[in-house]
Amino acid sequence: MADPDKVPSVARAAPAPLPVAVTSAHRTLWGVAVRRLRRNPPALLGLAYLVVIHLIAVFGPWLMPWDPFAADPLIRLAGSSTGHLLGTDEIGRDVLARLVLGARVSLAVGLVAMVISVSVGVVAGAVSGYFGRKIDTVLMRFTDAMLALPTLFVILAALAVFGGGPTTATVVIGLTAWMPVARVVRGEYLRWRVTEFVEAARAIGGSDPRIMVRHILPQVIPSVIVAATLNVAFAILTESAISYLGLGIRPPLPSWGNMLQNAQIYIWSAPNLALYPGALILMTVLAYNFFGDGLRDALDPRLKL
Amino acid sequence: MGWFLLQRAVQALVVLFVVSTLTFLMVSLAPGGPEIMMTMETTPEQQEALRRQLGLDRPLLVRFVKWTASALRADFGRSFSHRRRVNELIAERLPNTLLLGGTALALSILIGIPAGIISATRRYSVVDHAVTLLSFIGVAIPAFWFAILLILLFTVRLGWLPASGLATPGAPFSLADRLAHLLLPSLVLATAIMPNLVRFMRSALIEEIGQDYVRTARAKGLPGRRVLSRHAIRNALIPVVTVLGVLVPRLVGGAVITETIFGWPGMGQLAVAATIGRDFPVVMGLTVVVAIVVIVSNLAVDLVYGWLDPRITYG
Repeated sequence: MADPDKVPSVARAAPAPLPVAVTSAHRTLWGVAVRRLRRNPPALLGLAYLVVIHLIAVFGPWLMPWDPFAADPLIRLAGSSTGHLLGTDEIGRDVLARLVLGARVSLAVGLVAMVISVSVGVVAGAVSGYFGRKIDTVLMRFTDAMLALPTLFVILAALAVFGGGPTTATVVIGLTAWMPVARVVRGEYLRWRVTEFVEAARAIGGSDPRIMVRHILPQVIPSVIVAATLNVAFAILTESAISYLGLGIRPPLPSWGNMLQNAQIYIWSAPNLALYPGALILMTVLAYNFFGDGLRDALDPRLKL
Repeated sequence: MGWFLLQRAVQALVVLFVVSTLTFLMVSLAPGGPEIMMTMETTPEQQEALRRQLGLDRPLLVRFVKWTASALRADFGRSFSHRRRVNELIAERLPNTLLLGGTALALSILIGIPAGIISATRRYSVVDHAVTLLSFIGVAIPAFWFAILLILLFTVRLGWLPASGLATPGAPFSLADRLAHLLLPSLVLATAIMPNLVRFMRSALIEEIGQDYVRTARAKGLPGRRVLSRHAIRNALIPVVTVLGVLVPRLVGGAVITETIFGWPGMGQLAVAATIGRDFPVVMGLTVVVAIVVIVSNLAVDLVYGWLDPRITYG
C-alpha cells in the first residue's frame, strides 16, 4: 500500500473485492463472454437476426429491382403479387422496396442517435464519477431532472422549436437518452478511481485526462457496450413514434415509423400495410434487447463461470 | 416529517422554475416563430404585424418577466392558433388525460403485480417464461402499432369496441359506452409501463424469497401462502413503489401517442397539435403542467415509501 494519506478515504472504508478481468490466455473477459453467449439462445437468435437485418439495410436498397419512390396510382393498395411481392402502398409504391430502404433509414437513425447518447453519457458519467464533489452533485442533479421529464414530451417540445427532419430528430433522440449511460459510467468511475493501478498511474505522473481515458475507460467498455445495445433499441422505437406523428423522417423518404403514418386511414381496405413495418420494428427492438440482456449477463464478472 | 416536506417542496419549486426557464429560452430563441406557418399567403409586413400583435417584437427579458408573472398567477396567456386562453384548453383536457392515465396505471398494477408474483414464485416454469417473453415484447412493441393491431382486431374484425373518441358522438351519456371507449386506449397506455412493473416485481420478490426471515417463517411452520402474502410480498412491494414514481413520466409521454391514435381529447393530443402549429404559449403551459404532475407524483411516492417502510425516516 502506498502512503495512506494519498489513498482516497473510500478505498480504506470499502475494501470490497473488485471484479477483475482474468487475463490468462483461456479466460479473458471476452472469451468467457463469448462462451456464455453461446449458451443463451434468445441472445444468439437476436444476434443472428441483427446481422441479417443490418446486411439488408446496407446492401438491400442496391439489390432491390423496384424503385421505392416510383408511384403508380393505377395499382394503389394492391395486394401481394409477382409484380410487387408485398403489394403497394396508398400511392402505388412498392412496399417491399420501401421496407428495405426504411430499414437503412431507421437503423441509421438508431445507430447515430446511440453514438450521440453514449458519447454524452460516457463524458458526463466519467467527469462526474472521477472528479466527484460539486461537479458530481451538479451533473447528477441535472441527470435526475432529465430522467424525471417525459422523454417524448421533451422531444416534441424540441422538435416544435427546431423543426422536424432526420438530422434534428436523430440529435434530439440522442440527447434525451444519455442519462442511464451517464449513471452507469459514473458508478464505474467511482469504483475504479480508487483502485491500485489508478493510484500507480497517478504516482508516476499520469494526468487526470490520461488516467480517465487510458486506464479507466477500458474497464468501463463492457458496461458501455451493454448500454449502447439497449440505447439503439430505444432510439429505433422513439424514431418510429415521432416519425409516425409526422415529426421525424418525412416522406417520401421511408422509415418504418412513417410508413405507419397512413396505415390507420387504410386499416379497413389494406390492413397489411399496417402489419409489415410494425412487425419489423418489434423484431428489431426485441432482438437488440435480447442481445443486450444476454451481453449483460455474459459480461458480468460477478456471475459464476 | 414537516421539515422534509418543506425541503422537498422548495426543491420542487426550484426544478419547476429551471424547467420553465429553459423551455422559455429554447422556445423564444428558436429561429422562426408561429408567423412562419403562414409565409405562404402573407407579406413580410403582415408577418411583422402578427409578431407585434402576439407581442413577439418585445425584448426577450420583458417577455420572460411578463410570462413568469402571469404563470405565477396560473395564467399561461392566449393560444396563438386557437384564439382561446391556454388555461381553458388545458383545463378542458387535463381531466381526460388523468382519466386515461389513471386507468392505465390501475390496469398495470392490477395485472402487472400479480403477474410478477406468479412469475417469481414459479421461477423457470412455463408460466414464468411466458410472462418474461410477454414483458420483453411489451417493451419492444411500438405503442402506436400495438394500438393499430388492437383496432384491427377489436374494431375492424370483431366490431366489439370503438376505435376513437371519448364517447359515441350524439349518444346520451352511458357508463358502458364510456368504458368501451376507455378500454383500448388505457390498455395501450398500460403497456408503456406494465412490462417494467412485472420484471421489477419478479426480481424484488425473488430477492425477498431468498432472505433469512422467509426461511425462519417457513421453519416455524407457517404455510407457504401465508409466508408469501404476509412477509415476502409486502417487503418486495416497497422497491416496486419507487419504480412507480419513475414510471409516471413514461405514462405522460405514452399519452402523447395513445391520445393521437385514439382521438382522445387530452393533453397529449394538444401537445402534438401545438408542436406542429408552433403554438408556443400552449407548449409552455403544457410543459409546466406536466412538470407539476411529475413532481407531485414523485413527492407522493416518497411519502408512500416512508409509510410502507418504517425504517425510512425523513431526515
